[in-house]
Amino acid sequence: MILCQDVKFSYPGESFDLFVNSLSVDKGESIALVGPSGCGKTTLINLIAGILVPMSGSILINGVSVTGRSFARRQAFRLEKIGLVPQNFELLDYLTVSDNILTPIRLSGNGKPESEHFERVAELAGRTGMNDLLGKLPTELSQGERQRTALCRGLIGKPALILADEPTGNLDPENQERIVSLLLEEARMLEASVIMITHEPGLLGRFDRIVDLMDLRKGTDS
Amino acid sequence: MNRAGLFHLGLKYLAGNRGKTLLLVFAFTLVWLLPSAIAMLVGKVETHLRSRAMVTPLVLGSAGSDLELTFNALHFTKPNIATLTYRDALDVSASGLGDSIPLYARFTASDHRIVGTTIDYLRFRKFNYEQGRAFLRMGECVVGSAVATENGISVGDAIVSSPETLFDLAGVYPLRMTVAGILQPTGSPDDDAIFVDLKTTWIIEGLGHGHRNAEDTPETERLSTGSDGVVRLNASVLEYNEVTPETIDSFHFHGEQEDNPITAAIVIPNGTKEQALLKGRYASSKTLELVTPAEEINELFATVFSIQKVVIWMLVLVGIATLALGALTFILSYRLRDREFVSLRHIGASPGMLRGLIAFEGAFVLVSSLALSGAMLIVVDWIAPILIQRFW
Repeated sequence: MILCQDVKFSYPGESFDLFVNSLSVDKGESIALVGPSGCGKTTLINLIAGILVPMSGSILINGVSVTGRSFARRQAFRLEKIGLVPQNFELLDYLTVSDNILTPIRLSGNGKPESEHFERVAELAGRTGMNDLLGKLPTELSQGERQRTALCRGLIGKPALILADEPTGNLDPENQERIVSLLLEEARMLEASVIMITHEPGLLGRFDRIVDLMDLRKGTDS
Repeated sequence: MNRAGLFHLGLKYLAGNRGKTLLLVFAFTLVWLLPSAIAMLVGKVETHLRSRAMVTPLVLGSAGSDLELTFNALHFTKPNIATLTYRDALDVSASGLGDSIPLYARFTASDHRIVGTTIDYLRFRKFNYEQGRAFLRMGECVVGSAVATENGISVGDAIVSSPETLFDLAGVYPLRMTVAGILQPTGSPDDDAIFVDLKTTWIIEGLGHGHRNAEDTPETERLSTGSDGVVRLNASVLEYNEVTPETIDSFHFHGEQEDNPITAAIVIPNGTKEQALLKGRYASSKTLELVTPAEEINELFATVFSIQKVVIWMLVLVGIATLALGALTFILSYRLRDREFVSLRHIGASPGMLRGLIAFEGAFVLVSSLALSGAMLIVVDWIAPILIQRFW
């Protein structure tokens, strides 16, 4: 499903560099990506998502090279195939929870009727306990509620790959468990692969595999 | 790219920032509206003034401002222009070169101009009556349609002339006038005027009056009765403030009526040659002048158009500055929205989508302001005749 091979990346003018010898993730597999702060976990997520482009190496998703595509095609690919749950939520303040969740659909316009999308929003909101908050603005939400909104937005398009950057970072243990359960349950239903960055040791057991980025840098995948 | 989705996002942004959006739409609306509205209003005022000037061949008045004379004769404004005598108007008719219609447009009743004239004016303007008939005697009046509507007047009702100076005992006294007729709307200053016989305006001015016959007054109100039979009265003698069939005979003027004042006279020459002769006759006069209203209006609008051109250029410059400020507001707001655009890019928005979003928001403000200014122009077009009638 996902294959990263000899991926090398560095930010211009910065000493930081990332090298991933090899990382493969099977279809439907869930991975907890761990590693010390600043080791490049978010960078790797962004590389897989096609937000960043590696200096060298290749990243294949379902046999399609992400790195070899134009910016516009990478964006279209992400909209269609990838559900991204960013660390800082990245919600749009002028949109209600419902509209925020629907943003990827509105951008891609997958041709399905609006009612179908609203059913999906209601379904996700129901499972995350956000039913009563759909009409609210992000500024009226708690941190946990914003996180759940970002998660719903990542899942709305039924993606084949879910990339989550510490989605439980700001939550209490009860909400952490709730979010991870929903994420993995949804992934299982969609047969989607999951790569989730986390620092919570208590959550690691919920994943099929734990990958330490420091090991990847050394050339070992697990 | 999904256009419907982009429009939805754009509309949500504009609605979420409605204060900024409304301010921009309002500013842009003014940019489009002001020059167009000014041009439209000036055009309508020109048509309005020109149409009345074109059907009024010549105006005779006391030497002074040609334009003020024209406005007094055609629009019943400028009431304090210098007067000429009724005799001056009669001289035109006596010359055999044309006819004259005297006008005395100085006094008011209920904020409407009282125009003293002869029945010829009503014929000259080809008035039609909504109710009643023309004035036939002193103290009767014919009111314009707007006067009747605003004051709820019907034939048989009365209008009282406004006192010019409340505490001037020797000044103008209010006169109660009976409405003999109501004109149909004409869309001209006639709608706002009250037409009376010339003598009625002289009575309002105090040049004529009616009072109880001195011989009929009781002894207590007499100062003395001379051996010659002349009765001298004190100030308590009853002076009439209404001309009725019973009192009309007591109204009289001291002095020659031909020497009484008028503000203007419409002159209708018998032909082109007579018109030229009349103009030549008054060209050398030191006290009187004969003006051609159409020429005066042309001159006025030559000045108005040159001022309008300057004003519109200034508005265009202000408009360009406003549009530049609007564009700057957009650019700055997009810098402020950088985080939002990063989020949208992370979700999967392409550069084309973001450009489309920005273009939609800009176009929405432009189109909304154009639509709003268009709607306001329709309103201006609709209320222009009312404004013109009220102010010109």
